[in-house]
Amino acid sequence: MLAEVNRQCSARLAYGAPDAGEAANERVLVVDLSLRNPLHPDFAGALLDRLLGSRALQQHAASGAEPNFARNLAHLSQPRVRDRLLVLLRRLIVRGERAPVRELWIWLARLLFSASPAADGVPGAPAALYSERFFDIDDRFRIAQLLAAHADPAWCSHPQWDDRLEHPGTTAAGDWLEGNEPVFALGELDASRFACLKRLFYFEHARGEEAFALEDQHARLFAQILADVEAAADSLLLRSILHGINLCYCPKPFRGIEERLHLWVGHRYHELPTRSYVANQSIPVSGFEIVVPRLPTRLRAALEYQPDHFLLRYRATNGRTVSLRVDYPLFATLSQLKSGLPRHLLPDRDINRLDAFLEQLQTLGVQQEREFVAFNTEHRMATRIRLSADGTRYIEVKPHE
Amino acid sequence: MSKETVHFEALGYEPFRMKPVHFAAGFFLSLTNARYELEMLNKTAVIKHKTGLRDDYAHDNLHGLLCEQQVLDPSVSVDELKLLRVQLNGIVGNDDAIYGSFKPYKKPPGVAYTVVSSRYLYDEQPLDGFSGYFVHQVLAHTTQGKAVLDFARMRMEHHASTLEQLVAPLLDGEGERQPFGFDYEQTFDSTHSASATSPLTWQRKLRRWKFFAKTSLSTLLTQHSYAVSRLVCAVGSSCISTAGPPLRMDSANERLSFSWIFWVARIRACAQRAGYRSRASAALFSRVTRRFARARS
Repeated sequence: MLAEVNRQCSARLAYGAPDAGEAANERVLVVDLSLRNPLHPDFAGALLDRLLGSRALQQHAASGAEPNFARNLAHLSQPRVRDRLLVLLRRLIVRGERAPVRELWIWLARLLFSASPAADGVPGAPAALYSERFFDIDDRFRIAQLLAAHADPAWCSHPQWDDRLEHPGTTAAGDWLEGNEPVFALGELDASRFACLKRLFYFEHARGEEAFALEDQHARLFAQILADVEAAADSLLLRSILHGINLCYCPKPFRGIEERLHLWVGHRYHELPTRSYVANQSIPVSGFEIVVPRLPTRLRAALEYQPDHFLLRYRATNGRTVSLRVDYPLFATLSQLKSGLPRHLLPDRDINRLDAFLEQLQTLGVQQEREFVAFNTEHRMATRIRLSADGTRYIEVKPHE
Repeated sequence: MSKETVHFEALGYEPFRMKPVHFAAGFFLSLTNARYELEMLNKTAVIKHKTGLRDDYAHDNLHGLLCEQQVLDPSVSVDELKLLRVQLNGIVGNDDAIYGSFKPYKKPPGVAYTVVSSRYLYDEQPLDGFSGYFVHQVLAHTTQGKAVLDFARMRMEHHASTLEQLVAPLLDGEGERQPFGFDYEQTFDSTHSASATSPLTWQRKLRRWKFFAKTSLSTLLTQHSYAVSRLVCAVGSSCISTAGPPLRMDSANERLSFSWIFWVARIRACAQRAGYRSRASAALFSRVTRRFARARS
């Protein structure tokens, strides 16, 4: 029985097509609750429904004692607001984040109440709006930092909508949840009030989802890959990732940079970054695949799982596999490399992971060629060098373009 | 008395301001006890000199020389040779320790190439202030240290790495291997007898350190000389993680990982036991441990 428990624990997630090994044996089923993310829409949505369905809260709202409380309860009960709130939580999952149930419970409950007693007495005061409370800064809760960093529509510019929000009366009143446009006098429209408007726009306007329309393309693409298996199988995506990895070692693009992953080697005794990278081994794009994690078949009925990464996987001829776990930060790094971000500005964490991946690939005995690609970081020079078949003579030296 | 004088009296060398490549060269030279001239490599990889590139170091002259030696195909132009030299300089001169060493230049001390291989050892008088030989001697007196030395020897004789293959046409043949022949102990003793009031002979010094080594190898590496431990870790991790495809255990057929036990994990654990917790040390161990995790993953 313990062997079966160990087996299941060692394969918490499955990749690729289902196989018989994913089934449970010996009537043992290990349910790893760490795979359950409380931010998942199913879980967080049920929690929100439970909160809003509380009879005591509904009675308090109906009593009219706190107009802001009643307004927040009514708005949060609207499907549009509810769905968009859950979308924001899903953004955190895609970025590999999670939150304890307790913290999520507290955070959602706070949405009903205003931030200060002073705001209580002013109906519609920004500090009392659920949309502001959702993005409150509170160092006691990590979810506050996560929402501010990854999910606040106020920090995502959209020139057209921003312009309209700055000028009262330029949006259609019927597009808003309450049938009228929230307005601040132009003289009062400071940064915090404009942020308040943008958040209201996201939650309550018919086209509020466009608030994130101009965010980085890689953010949308990453979410799309995790949600859509076909998007993950796209060979363009594979090429794009190989392109990014090659650029990490040779930032000067060259022909075929998307077609093969070069196994770069650099060495320096000093702790400073190496000045030179060389490769004479490479793997064609066809050798790689992208696989998105899922729950093993034995756990499908047990809980919902939202992937937060995918694997770039290489399967050697001897059956051994080497994988690079691509999560959101690494995916963003690879995208930024293609936009020209220099290597020395990359996070160490990502560089170390790419180095480790290439080192592991080298252990698979990939064929060494007589043609070398070398990049000198000091001179920003990429060169293709070919040796004779016996390796004793340089027979070709060309710029690698 | 200056700090440097105290260090020299007590340790026999000044452990600060030493390039890791010099420690590596000294350590590996004492280990293999062999060196090569590497004239062709030096003439090709050195691409600048304060007095300008002259004689065989000049591009045109070198082109003729390499073609004559059948190292370079005549179809490769002088401009293309310049590209090659820049790349080779970046590889073997990555630690800024290669200088023109052959005619018309006078060889300066401390010429060392950045490749983990016995075929790149050159300098007759390594600029490591005896530290490489010293660490070698101390390691040789412990069981764990001997395992480290065995691993290092094995690494030095592994010649299939990408970096080494690229430079291979310029290397000396096996037949040109020369005995190293530098007498550390005699040089050390003569240096000290001339300068110190109470001469610290090599044997006295080694006895003193062997005592610590037998008590705990890591005591030597952590408590008594931070600089040496730092260099050992740096060179050890370079040696293991970047010298090409990993070697395999003779029987277990698994990735060679025992070295980490000595180079990193054990050193770190012992350092903690010894109460060695400076911020710099923590940062170093943290870095090396990350490499360890990377190599293991």
